[in-house]
Amino acid sequence: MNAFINGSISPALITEQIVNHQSKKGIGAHTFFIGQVRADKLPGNNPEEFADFFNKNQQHTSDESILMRRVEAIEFSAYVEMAEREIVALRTHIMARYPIKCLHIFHSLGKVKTGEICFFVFVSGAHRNGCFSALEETVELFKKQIPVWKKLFLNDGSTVWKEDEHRLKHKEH
Amino acid sequence: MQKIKIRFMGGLAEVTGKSYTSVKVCSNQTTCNDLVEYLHQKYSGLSEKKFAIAVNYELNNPDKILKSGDEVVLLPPFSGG
Repeated sequence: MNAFINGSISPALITEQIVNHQSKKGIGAHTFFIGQVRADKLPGNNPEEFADFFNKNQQHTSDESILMRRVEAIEFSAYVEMAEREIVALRTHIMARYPIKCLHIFHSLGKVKTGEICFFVFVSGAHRNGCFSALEETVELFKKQIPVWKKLFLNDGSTVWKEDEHRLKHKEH
Repeated sequence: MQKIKIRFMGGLAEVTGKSYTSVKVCSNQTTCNDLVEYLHQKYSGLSEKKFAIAVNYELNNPDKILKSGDEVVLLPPFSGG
């Protein structure tokens, strides 16, 4: 099964997954995680320019909405060939470790706007025991082990790679 | 002559200006580490970047001897999910 979906994950896909499991009568519990693109705030691109602007306009510099840039969308890319292998290994690891019956993972590729869904992990078992832990471990291991990257698109037209975001915060704060 | 395929993933493609390249190496003793040293010389921007190396999908095997057709992929820190 292909874990990657072009663009955002529709709420209809999530509903469809729940419906698909209604015929599996041995299942008594579902847990799921839904990742949504958040409108994070980042420091302005050029703090000196902003300071100059505020001095000239005698505006209060604590107006965060002007000082900060905001994420409008995230573009996801992946080393798909490796990611697919690693997802199979991750599923095998989780299925062997917890008493669960099903584990489905969906992740977006390409651009996803804030408020839209980019990650969906769906765990089903006979009982709730194991489902919560399996879900949490799958999400954590996915983030650590699967070669996927985020490029942040900001409201001033600039872009920042997720791995450079912390550097920007340290440099400018 | 060994032909090695190279891919730059995520932000590294912007640092090097390309997603794919390839190199020909004469020695049949060239390791993954040797190739990374060469790439650092060719693309100076790489020195400021953190990345892992996958050779044919296997991560971090710096002493692996490269052979013709191998795919070496430079992977920035993962940020999926």
